[in-house]
Amino acid sequence: MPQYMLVLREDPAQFASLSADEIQRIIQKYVAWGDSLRERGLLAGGAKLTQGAARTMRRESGRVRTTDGPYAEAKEVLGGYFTILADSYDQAVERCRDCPHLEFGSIEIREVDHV
Amino acid sequence: MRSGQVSPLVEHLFRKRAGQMVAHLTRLFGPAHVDLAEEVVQDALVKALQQWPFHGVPANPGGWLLSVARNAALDTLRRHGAFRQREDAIVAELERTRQAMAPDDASIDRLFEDDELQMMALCCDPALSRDASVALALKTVGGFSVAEIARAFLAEPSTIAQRLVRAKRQLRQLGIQQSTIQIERVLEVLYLMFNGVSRRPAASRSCGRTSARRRSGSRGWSPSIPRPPRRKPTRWPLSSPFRRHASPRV
Repeated sequence: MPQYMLVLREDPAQFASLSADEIQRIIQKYVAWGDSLRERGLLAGGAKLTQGAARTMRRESGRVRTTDGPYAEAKEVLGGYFTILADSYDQAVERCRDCPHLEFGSIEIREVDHV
Repeated sequence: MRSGQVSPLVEHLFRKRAGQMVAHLTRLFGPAHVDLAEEVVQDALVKALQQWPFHGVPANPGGWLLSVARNAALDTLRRHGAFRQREDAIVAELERTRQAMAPDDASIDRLFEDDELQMMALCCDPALSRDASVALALKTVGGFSVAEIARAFLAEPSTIAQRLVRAKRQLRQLGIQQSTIQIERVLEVLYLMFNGVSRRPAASRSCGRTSARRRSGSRGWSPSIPRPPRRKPTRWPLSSPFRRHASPRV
């Protein structure tokens, strides 16, 4: 079965207004969502990325420049990723439909290329 | 993502711990810094949201939150010049609480009882309007968000937000350090908290405090502060959203 990477992005400004109850509810949903995928053998991996520090390297005018953080204009930051198994993009989307990350962020789904 | 052994999260655990932590940190930082206390606590909750989905729910979720909030408080102390003189005393107090904390919920609750009571007294300081007291109590010791408070009071979130800003500014400008418990105001605020934030239909007319506390247990806000003494208040000058809901037969 193909693997799909779920790239989780979030706008940290949203967090300030989430209530304690909402946060708890979302965490409980995450546990349920993750457990459901894992029990079916559909969760291949995942990791959380640390917040705050980041570097971006890019060649500009012939030299490699390293800057702190992602692009300044980016409102959404990369929070982490999951790798799930699915037959198709449609099925991957279905499996993400009740992912609680959608309550405050976006999920970019990309199929992992196997040569 | 780690599997299994997920300790079930007690209902409203986050809201309860948030209220306790804000009360505790407000006492340590001082009433002029309620904002900072709230920020530290919210950061701890958000960290849980960002980490637990990947790392799993810890064995002692409440303890984890308190621990993270404590570390964030220590960071805040070091970064803010305002605390320079009191830093040692505050650090010592944070350490004392850490050592006193056994992993069971009941003992944690007892540890923060006094702080919650003191926060409640602060919110009910007579310098603040009744609306301000209710909003501030719900936001701080209650652990509710601006949006939740606004919904319960049929008000705009911006109205509640402004009310909170003004109330905190008053506490700062008046230099209020501690408030004695104004028992009537506290009872009034408690009544409005239980009945205002409840999702029960407006029909109920019994406003006995015992039944209100019992109902609030199932509704979710159960402060671990001592029950106020049974006592008839002399008046209930309830503002308009509540005149519809309650007939103050006291």
